[in-house]
Amino acid sequence: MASQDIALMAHLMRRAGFGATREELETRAAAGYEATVEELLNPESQPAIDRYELVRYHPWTWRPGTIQGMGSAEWLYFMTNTKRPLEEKMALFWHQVFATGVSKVDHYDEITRMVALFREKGMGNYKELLLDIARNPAMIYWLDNFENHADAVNENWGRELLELFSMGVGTYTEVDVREASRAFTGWTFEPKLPRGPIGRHDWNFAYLPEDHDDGEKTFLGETGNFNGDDIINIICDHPATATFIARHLYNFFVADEAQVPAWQVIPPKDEAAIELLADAFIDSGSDLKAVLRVLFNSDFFKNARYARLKSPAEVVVGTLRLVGGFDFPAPGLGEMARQPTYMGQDLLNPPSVEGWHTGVEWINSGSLMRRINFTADMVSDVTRPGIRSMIDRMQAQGDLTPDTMVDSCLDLMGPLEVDGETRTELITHAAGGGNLTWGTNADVDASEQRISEMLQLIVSLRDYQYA
Amino acid sequence: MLTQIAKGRVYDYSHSVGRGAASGMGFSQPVAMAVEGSTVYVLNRGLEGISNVPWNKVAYGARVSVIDVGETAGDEEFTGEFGKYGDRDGEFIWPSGMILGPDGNLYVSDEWLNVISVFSKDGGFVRKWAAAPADGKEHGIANIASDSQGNIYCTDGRSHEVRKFSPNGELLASWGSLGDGDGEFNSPWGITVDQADDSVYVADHRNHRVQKFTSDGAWVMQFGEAGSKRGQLHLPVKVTVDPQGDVYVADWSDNGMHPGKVHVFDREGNFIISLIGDAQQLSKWADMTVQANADYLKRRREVATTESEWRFALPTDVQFDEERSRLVVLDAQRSRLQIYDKRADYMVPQMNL
Repeated sequence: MASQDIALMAHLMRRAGFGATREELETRAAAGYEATVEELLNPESQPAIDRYELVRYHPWTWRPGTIQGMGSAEWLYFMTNTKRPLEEKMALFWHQVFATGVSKVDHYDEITRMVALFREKGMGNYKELLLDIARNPAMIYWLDNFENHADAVNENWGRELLELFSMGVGTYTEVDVREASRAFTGWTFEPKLPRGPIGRHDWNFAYLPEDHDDGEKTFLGETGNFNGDDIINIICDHPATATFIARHLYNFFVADEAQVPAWQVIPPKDEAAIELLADAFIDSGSDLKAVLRVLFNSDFFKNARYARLKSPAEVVVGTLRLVGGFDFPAPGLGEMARQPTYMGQDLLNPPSVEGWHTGVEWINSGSLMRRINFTADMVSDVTRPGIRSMIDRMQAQGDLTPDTMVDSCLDLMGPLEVDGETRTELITHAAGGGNLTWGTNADVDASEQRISEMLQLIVSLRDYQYA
Repeated sequence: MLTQIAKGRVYDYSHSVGRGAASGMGFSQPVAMAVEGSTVYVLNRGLEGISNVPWNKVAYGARVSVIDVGETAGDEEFTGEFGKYGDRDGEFIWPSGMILGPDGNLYVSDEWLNVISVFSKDGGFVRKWAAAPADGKEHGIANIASDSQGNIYCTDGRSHEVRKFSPNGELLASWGSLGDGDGEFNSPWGITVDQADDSVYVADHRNHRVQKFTSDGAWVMQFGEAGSKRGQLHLPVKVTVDPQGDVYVADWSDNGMHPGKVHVFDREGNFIISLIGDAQQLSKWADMTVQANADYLKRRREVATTESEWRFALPTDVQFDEERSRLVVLDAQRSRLQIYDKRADYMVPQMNL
């Protein structure tokens, strides 16, 4: 099998998923690139994770409290073990766009329900998803729409709907914000039983017609007695929405862009790519699967290898999937779920409605050390099935010189592309131990130890931080 | 319905006991219980979280709670607790099952450490034994039971087996493997022994059925089928038998409305009735929490209905108190017990009232 096929498949699986083992890459490459894209876009062909398998061993994940580290455990388990990687990746994408945090909502269970919505509809129709988000109790509380009344308008939801969730700054006016907000008056939630003392209860949407401003509104040039769903229809038909979602998708799947607030002043890196994706959005009637199909099959995607920094969730989940052995939810899941937090991404708790700033903003001295320590710790365990498989493959090649050892390790860890200077440094380090040999048990033990050390060096490279 | 009547049985809701608490008056992810008259021992799994103290980094609330549930609502008293998270003698990582043995000691299984630990009723550690063989398989001791001879049985949810031990922990028999045929299991969980004839009942969790065996492991029968309709099972968790031979199955019944039921079957496996939880009043301890929080009080008056808190949420155990003829359901996600009287003296009121 051509190494380029494997490299391209590895690229696809890093972006449309969380990476893949060499065995999976070989299977997928044999099936073909387009076929793999279609399988990813149609996740129902693969079995879903059974939530009860987790609840059976970790009953606290059913409706977790708000103790830090609790809430994202279920999601981490889903991301690590799913056979539908793009489904979880899209949930992560929408969590970044419709960023809603437990810091204010104070209900991990409600934000987890929102993630379940992303899982269910994240590759469906954007308009339908946006309408569900407008009715989502966690979002209604997060952006204060429960305080948006016919006689006292609160513009928080209306503003963020336009600024961060659909069109982007500069494509609408303050009057549009006001009118959109009026249209969403009366969109609230039912009072629900308090969380204590016997556990949590579902929060449900409520529409109160008596609290809705049914008067005439003019929004983006159209006039009528608009309600919230009318506003969403108008938004979804506006070309700015197609461009805005296209840029979000490009930033998440293709290459790091400027931070979202700067999009009004900094043009896209690849305007033709954004235009292509936006056209697909419009032509398909905001069908996200159609847009993603165009994206993954495009040359600009295929040529964008290692063009974006991994988010902490990608680092953690990708590493867990690479080393393997996390299919059974052993004790310590809560601590594992905290790892992205230590690297700067507290899942279910974004820093603001703007979501996390991405790209180089993921990296600082503290978060980089966390990334390296976590990944080095994981790949150092030669009993993990993923690491075992790499060692077995290298052993099957027979004795290895230092340069072939380094090349094999880089290949099996990606294939990871590094510059000549980095490769030379790795080979120099490897040369200190001579050739890898497998003649005796002592040789095998020593070779496994040296491979483990080489893998730890590789995950500490700058290159490994990119997807 | 607080009172349910079917095929000559009457189940009359009595009251609930408990609230969520990581220590003291309440429970934390309870997984099993042992009933001795009005004394109930509740085994709490606890929950994972992050503490900034290194000696308790992984779990809160793992313990055995000892309570006296009394006769009626408001009688309950917290009388003590013992045990904690850990892997030393007398500690547990994933406590999973508990019985009161014929010798008067409490037997606690752990499905991560795969041991059965024995405690005196006041919490003193007595001994423990490894309940899973070192055979290269993954193991998880899910639940335990004892027969009239003092033998101990356990389910192994990961190797899909049942094992039988002597009272001293000597392995006497084992049976089962992964599958859905007669005598096969898929993640067996709850187990009980009918003290009348030492028949063994197993909640075959992922096969959505109950299987019955002789005390030596010979297959006798199965009942229950997968589904969410009347009498059908979805992830049965625990099974118990009352002195009349009626069989109670705690089930996770994921039908979108009630995430838990207790189904009643007769000794032939014929479906009788399902209980769905009826805690229309808060327990004494839960009410203490509400009364201490003015916002809780206000919000509870604003909701259209409190029905969602009446119902079972993922029950993990069901036991029959023979002395008082009452059914005790461990309503796990609501951190409480729901208690039903099984009444033989019930007079049906005039029908044209």
